[in-house]
Amino acid sequence: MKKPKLISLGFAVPERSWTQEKTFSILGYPRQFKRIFLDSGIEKRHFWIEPERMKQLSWQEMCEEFEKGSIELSTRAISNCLDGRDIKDIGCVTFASCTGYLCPSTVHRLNMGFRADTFFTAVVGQGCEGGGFPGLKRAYDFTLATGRPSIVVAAELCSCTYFPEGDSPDPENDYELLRGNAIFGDAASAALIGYDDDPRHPHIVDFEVYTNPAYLNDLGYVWRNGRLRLRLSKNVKKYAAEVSGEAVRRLLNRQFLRVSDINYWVIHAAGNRVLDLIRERLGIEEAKLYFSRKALRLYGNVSSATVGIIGKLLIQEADIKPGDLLVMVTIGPGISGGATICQFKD
Amino acid sequence: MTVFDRVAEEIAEIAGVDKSKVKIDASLKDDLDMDSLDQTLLMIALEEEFGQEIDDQTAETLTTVGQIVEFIEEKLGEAE
Repeated sequence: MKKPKLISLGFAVPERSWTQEKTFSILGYPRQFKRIFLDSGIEKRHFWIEPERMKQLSWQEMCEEFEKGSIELSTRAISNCLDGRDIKDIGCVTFASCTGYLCPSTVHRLNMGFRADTFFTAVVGQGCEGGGFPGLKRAYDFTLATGRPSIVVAAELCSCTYFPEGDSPDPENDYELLRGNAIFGDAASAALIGYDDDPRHPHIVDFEVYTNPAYLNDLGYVWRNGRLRLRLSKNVKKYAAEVSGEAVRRLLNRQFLRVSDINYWVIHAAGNRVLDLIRERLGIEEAKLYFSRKALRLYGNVSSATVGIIGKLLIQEADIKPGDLLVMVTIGPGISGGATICQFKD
Repeated sequence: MTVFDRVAEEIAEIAGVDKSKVKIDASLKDDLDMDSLDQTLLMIALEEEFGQEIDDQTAETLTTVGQIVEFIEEKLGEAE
């Protein structure tokens, strides 16, 4: 059976952005911790809730902001992705987010003119890989089964999960809130899966996933004082490299490919050090991480919206040739690593 | 205890490594896998341990165990 293609990508970010220096100053951490923000490989981040307001809002108000923000950013990301294509052709829309919960889901609230027989799916609780792996796989499977185009959209409003700290960073679990506040931003990205004859749109060839449940409690959210509190242990970078590296290794082995055969890498820009460790583990050339580093620099870690942004930057800027191979790598709680291989063909 | 011993103890605790792994020529990042947060926490711990302020710009230049030891010995010398 002919495999579906990645037809288009789009993304949207909140209007305003803040430099790392400015964000650090607003959040009010002691001066010694400024380096955590400045050494992150990030220049600026976009936030739905302005940093000035993050500390003031109740959990209820943050959830209300998530509702507004996820609808607006998802709508803009999908419009950007469709780029004039008819929304009535879409057979399935999968929405992913780990930074807010709505029932009915955000996808039901998108007033974009979908047909009444469009399938809606919401992926929740899969962290930074919700959109880029299980969401993408759902879209792929739907298109493969029905022949109809499908969309996956990931909207992550990390500013809506800001957890208040005192005057100094909370040292619980190795300063995980400080780590999170130094890297996470807000964005939505969307991917259109379908069939066409355009050689610039890659075929999705294969998927692989690898989860190590020993790291279950190192990444995700926990409930604390009636709010979601980020869980991001110091060891995540090491574990992320391990699980994603294993997923990639298995995927490439099955496809009889080597790391050096891959022309482009779209690796979840979780942080500079995570990218370093994945690069070292797999032996990827630094130049092939250009688009992951660029997305990190311009937008920060926008959780499951990240790989869509990296992919969009790549498609826009890279000199892609027929036959080129692309591997997308995602990282999520579990801790889980996902790998998807695509090929550009005539 | 020498300055090196005291520095090595702080590093071992923050980096989560055995003290014997902390060598004088070790790089905080490459050899001891200390990220920027670990390095910040180390500077705060060293300020407390030695009663000497380490300004932020200087802290960024201290990337090896040897540089830290040399810097603290100089500061302690100045203070005497």
